[in-house]
Amino acid sequence: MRGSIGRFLFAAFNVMVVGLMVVPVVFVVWSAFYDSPFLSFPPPGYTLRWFSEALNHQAFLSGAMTSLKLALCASVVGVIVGTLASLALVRTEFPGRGVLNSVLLSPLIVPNIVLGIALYMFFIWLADQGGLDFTSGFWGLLLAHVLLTLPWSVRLISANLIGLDRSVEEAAMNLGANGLKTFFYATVPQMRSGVIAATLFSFIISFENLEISLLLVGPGSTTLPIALMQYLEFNINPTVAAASTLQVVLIVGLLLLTDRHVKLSRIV
Amino acid sequence: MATLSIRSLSKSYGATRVVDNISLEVADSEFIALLGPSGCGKTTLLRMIAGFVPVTDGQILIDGRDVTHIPPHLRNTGMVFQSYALFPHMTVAENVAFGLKMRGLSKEESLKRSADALSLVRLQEFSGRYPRELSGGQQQRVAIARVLVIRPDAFLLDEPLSNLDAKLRQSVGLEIRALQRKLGLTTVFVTHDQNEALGLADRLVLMNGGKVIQSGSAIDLYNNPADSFVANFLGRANLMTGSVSASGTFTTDDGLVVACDTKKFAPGSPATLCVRPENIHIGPTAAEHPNTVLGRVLMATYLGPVTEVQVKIPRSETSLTIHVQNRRDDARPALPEVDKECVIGWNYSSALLLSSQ
Repeated sequence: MRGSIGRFLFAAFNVMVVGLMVVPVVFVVWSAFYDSPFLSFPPPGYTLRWFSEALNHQAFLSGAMTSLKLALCASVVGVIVGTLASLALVRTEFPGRGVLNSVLLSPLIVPNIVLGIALYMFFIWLADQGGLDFTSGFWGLLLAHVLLTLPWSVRLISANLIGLDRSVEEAAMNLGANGLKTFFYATVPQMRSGVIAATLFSFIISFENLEISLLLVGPGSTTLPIALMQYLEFNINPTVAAASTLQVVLIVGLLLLTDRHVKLSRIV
Repeated sequence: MATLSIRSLSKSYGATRVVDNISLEVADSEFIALLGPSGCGKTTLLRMIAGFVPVTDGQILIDGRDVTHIPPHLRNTGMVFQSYALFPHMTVAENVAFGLKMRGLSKEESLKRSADALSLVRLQEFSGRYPRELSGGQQQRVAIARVLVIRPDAFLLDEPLSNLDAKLRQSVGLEIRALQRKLGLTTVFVTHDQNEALGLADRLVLMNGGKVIQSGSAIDLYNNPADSFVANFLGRANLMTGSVSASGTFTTDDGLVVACDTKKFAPGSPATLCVRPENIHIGPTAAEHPNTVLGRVLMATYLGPVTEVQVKIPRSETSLTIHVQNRRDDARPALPEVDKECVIGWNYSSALLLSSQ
């Protein structure tokens, strides 16, 4: 009897938490179809016009392009650096390993907005010192986003590496593979799930990031979240909801696609 | 095939000697089992032969070639792992062909040889499957085929049966033995399971604390154990410590006087008496033996082929374990009832005097 009450409370708690995460998304998606220029409730009717509106809004389009390019580059760079760093952290012993690990994970504990401000100040200082201006442009954003994605790459790829069965690599060596061949034939294929998960998470985190990009965007290099925010400063209509819905669809699609290759429930 | 020589081999981690000055000769086509409790250094020794563990001191020679400091991929040993260690992203055929691919064989030749190796372990129809689609026993057979295909100079097995259930353990074990005989493989088999070792190997090498305690055939080790550790590790043994009181007489710490061969010990020196459970007689005929004790039955457990009887003897804290054969065609022996007195006895030659360990 007591056990079943406990189970009920636990289930209720789970439903509540999941509800808190899902309900806002449901409302955003719902309001994207409202046939009303205001977010009024209940809606007078339904329409698809906000989607065409969103898809024809120049700032959204160029923002989406920038965000896609940025997320792609940031996840690729982050995963490459993260893979190498994980290999060094998990597979080798060197003084300062613990420190390096903490440094690589530190962006996770600093609030993004603080990170953004710090980077902005650093970029200004760099520009002052001569030459390199990262304050508003794609490269500055890329550097910032790599900082954002790197801890995730290191975490996911390290966890995957730690869990690997070393005897598979020993078997490869035993059968005649030298160090390099063992790495490519036995180690790399086993890192696949960690690398795929890291790429996916990096992409999503970079794509939806608002805070760190806030101070670093410039003309021609505005990301989608920033474009949405700027739009919201002057308009309140379901176009934003439609654009957000498209973003949700993209991310859910990515998650489903990845899940077909790597069972996400097993690594996250 | 080849011989394997291990000469004064040691491995230290800091101050700990995991393998302590071991010398061992394995003849061509010989099957030896490294046996011992966990932490005795048997796996480390095997991994040193394969080249995974750097040698602190000593030499390893395969077919007369010094491989002590040669990296694993150039040693031409074939290792079978406890966890199978198949390449999860390769099919069975690709797994088996891997060693040949690394040796630069043509695709045609390696496919042919892999197919032959797979048919040796009767898995030819599984060549297109992935390891995860096979049972544990099948995976281990693929791992064996993967190693046999490279014609290794030394066939190394690291607890290859531990992950299999009891029935499979026996059949895969026998399969390993049959293949080893057929192909004349020089084999080192690591196990902590004495039944595997007794059943498969030509020679047992019993290790403890990084050292070889005794090496020999199963019959040797069981009947003439070097010391009380060996007697206790292999099979069941009733061990009683005490000292030699006079020539031909041993007195246990509990005061039991036993007639036995004391040639190896000077009078007064401490030793351990070992009597195997199957060598103790119980019942009416027991009194005919040179060593006779009146005891009390504590427990009798029917185990199928034998009944295990625990007998408490006077003045002793411990009880003796006795195995009584259960043969169908025997007249049912009058087993003493629990809590009744009984006479037990054993022969002069059944009582072995060993140095204490």
